[in-house]
Amino acid sequence: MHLPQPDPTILARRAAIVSGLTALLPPGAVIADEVSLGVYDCDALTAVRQKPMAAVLPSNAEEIAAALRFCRDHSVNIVPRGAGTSLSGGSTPLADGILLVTARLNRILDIDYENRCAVVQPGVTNLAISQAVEERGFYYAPDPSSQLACSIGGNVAENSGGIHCLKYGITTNNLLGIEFVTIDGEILRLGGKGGAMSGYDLLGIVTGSEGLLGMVTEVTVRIQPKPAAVRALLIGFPSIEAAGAAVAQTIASGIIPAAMELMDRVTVEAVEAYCGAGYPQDAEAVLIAELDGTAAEVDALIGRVEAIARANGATSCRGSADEAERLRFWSGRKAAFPATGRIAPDMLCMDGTIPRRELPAVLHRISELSVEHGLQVANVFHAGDGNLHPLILYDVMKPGDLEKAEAFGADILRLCVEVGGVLTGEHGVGLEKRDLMPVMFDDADLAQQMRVKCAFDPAHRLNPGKVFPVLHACAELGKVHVHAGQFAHPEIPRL
Amino acid sequence: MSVIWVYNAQEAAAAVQDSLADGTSLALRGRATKLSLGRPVIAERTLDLSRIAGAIRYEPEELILTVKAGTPMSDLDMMLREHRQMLPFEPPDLGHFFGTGERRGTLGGALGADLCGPRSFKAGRGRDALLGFTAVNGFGEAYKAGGRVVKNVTGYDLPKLMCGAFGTLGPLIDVTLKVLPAPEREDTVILRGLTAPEGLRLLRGIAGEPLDASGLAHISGELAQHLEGVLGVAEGLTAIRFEGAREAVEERVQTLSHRLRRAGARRLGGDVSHDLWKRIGNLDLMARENGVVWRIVAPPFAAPAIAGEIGPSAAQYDWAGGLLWLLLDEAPHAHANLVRSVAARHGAQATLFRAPEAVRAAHGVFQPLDAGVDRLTREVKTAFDPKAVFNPGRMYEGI
Repeated sequence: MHLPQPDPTILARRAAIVSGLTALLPPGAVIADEVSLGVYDCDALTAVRQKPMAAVLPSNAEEIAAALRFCRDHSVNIVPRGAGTSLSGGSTPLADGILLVTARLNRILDIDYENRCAVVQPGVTNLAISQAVEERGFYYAPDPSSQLACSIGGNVAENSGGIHCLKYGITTNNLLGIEFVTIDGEILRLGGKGGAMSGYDLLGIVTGSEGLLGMVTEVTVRIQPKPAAVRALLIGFPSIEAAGAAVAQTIASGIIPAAMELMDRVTVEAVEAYCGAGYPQDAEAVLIAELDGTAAEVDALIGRVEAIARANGATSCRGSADEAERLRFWSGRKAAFPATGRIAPDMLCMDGTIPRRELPAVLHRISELSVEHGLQVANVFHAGDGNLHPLILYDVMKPGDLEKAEAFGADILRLCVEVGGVLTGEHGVGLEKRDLMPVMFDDADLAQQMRVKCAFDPAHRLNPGKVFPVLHACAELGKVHVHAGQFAHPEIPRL
Repeated sequence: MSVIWVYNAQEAAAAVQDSLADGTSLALRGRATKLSLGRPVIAERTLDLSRIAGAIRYEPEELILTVKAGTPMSDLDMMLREHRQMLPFEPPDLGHFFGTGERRGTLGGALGADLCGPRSFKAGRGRDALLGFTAVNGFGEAYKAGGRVVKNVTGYDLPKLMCGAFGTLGPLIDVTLKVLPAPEREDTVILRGLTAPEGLRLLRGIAGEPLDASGLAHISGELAQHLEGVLGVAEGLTAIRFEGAREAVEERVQTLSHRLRRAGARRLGGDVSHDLWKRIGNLDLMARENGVVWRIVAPPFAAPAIAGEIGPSAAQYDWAGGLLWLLLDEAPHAHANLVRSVAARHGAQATLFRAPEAVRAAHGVFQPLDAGVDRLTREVKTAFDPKAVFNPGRMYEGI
């Protein structure tokens, strides 16, 4: 995980850049003193720290447009930032770039129940949207674990998921429209309350583009009625294989649970020591399955899933009797990250997705890798959609431990791709997985993605050093190489 | 016009190389069932993709299906039925509507044309089901994007761009889709005699309740009269579909029927329900009427106002008003200025879905783009197809 070498010609102009931006924007919008910038030296990928040249906090789309135009005209790099909760370094600052922060665009603009949508500014937190529509029984479905802190603008940039996405989709499936500012400072509307847009699905390509294509300045999301009833099952299995089989059979039987979360023994032990969630201590794997719908439906489905679990050798199976118990089941899973903090001071959270049937083999190989690298690992797993979160435990104070953890993480992600999966299910590529992109994509694949980047940002000013291991010059990527005189179909008459 | 038949990505890439070498363009074709959708294409050669067909990998327990893009929808339906699964986005069969008969189109065509059905307001469109693909670009290179798992954010989401691009970014070769279990049961509750504004108000209310309806449509009397048997009455038909586990469907139908009993709610069981929604999705009722057909995607609340201002001779509303199908009298201008200005005023997107070729050529098919979006759209086209080899002009002038 290395940031690109800063451009000395930009660094040399720092004073002029700061004063230029300060003159352009209202008082207090540009932060450039060393002490204040300390707050902005990393996102949730805390292993990499770098102060930006300046942090710029505009209050509206016009100010964002002005800042982007300034940066384009003065050849300054830009790192967009929402709440700074990226786990992949999506908003890790650059020494030769400004941090463009959406925190002050924090208003909910319109709640429209007739059209079942909410229009909000990008700095509004994910959870605040659900809270704002709660009184009428609605919610916003994608629920990344950082939902209390993470911003909806960041969710759009990262195409964030959550524990309920097998049934309800991820950000892109719940997004109706955005206001979007290009590097040229042009303010565009992509989609709207009706959802679809004519022409190419630019809304779809911007979603999950990790801040490399432009800035999101307004977001319209679909809100939906909360299910009438929700219950969860807490199930202990004698092996990961048995738990995996129960998950597969549940889905094969036609049931799509709202959530299915699997934890291995290391995680369960850490969680129990941390918060005593009441998880079965004799189990090798603990599964939480959540069912939602109408009351009769949920009761019936709980019965069906329980039967499948028992048939697969479940050693314990308990359905939540009330809301308090359901929340207690979840309290352990939600505490998994802090709980591992009791075992080791630092933790690297990986995020590959695999075909579900590969779970036992992948977990077995991860335990072997754990021995090879000499670091402990705890596994939590969004079992319904195959998204694996191995938590690699290390101690940054021990020389070489961080490097070992990174190498271990890279081995896990290579393994995910090897078995037919992908590098990242919901955290994004960012800085963290940038250099692993060639494991999944060959040169032609990456070239096509980079050409899309060129369509939006030909000078590569937006978030350079993220996602792509090497950003080729757009002129080179756009060249058409004609194999002159080598017609594949010489028999075809030429017109 | 000469036709090139290709069997795989390499041959398709070679055909593109040939076009680049002699500066010609290619009209893409699957089973030629949707040629009248979009602006007419003028190209020197046709690239026939219908031979790139067949299953590659079906993993029902993973809810994942990888097939060649030229696979006919009828073959796909058979594959899915065998495992009691379905495509979430319910792509319609428009053979009757477009007059291409029983011949079903291809999956690649359905994705390229962004065809989707009554369930899409809830389960998403083709863009939401397409997880990954291989394709050939206008540089004459095969490449891949996305992945073969349901949850993936690695790299740009190129599958979104390919859906609804009408082949203008190049042919899809292999596609990986998310599939869903087919519902154990489906039932529909219907009401007769409501006006469109009344029916749509009811449907929007139901969409805002935790009833999890999977179809919310209102059909004007002019169209409803074409239905068979007792359903074929010339008055508005408002329909609410429920799909899922037995217990769930039963409970929801009971709840709604009880509430609407005074309004004369009736219940349609599995087969009758299934048939009704097929007719709605396939535009069967409109197929019987002459005239131009507009497809408008709108904020649901705006639907009655949009229809009121345009004044169609018949209408079918889907997605609780989020999707309008309006039938208008034949006219050389297809009422394009009126429809597009009304749509723009209400934040909606209008597509001229059925009209004679000359009308589509003269007045265009898709909602005009704002200047900034238009510029970006052209940049994106260039990023995939710099020499404009694929389907020139199918979407807009030059795209």
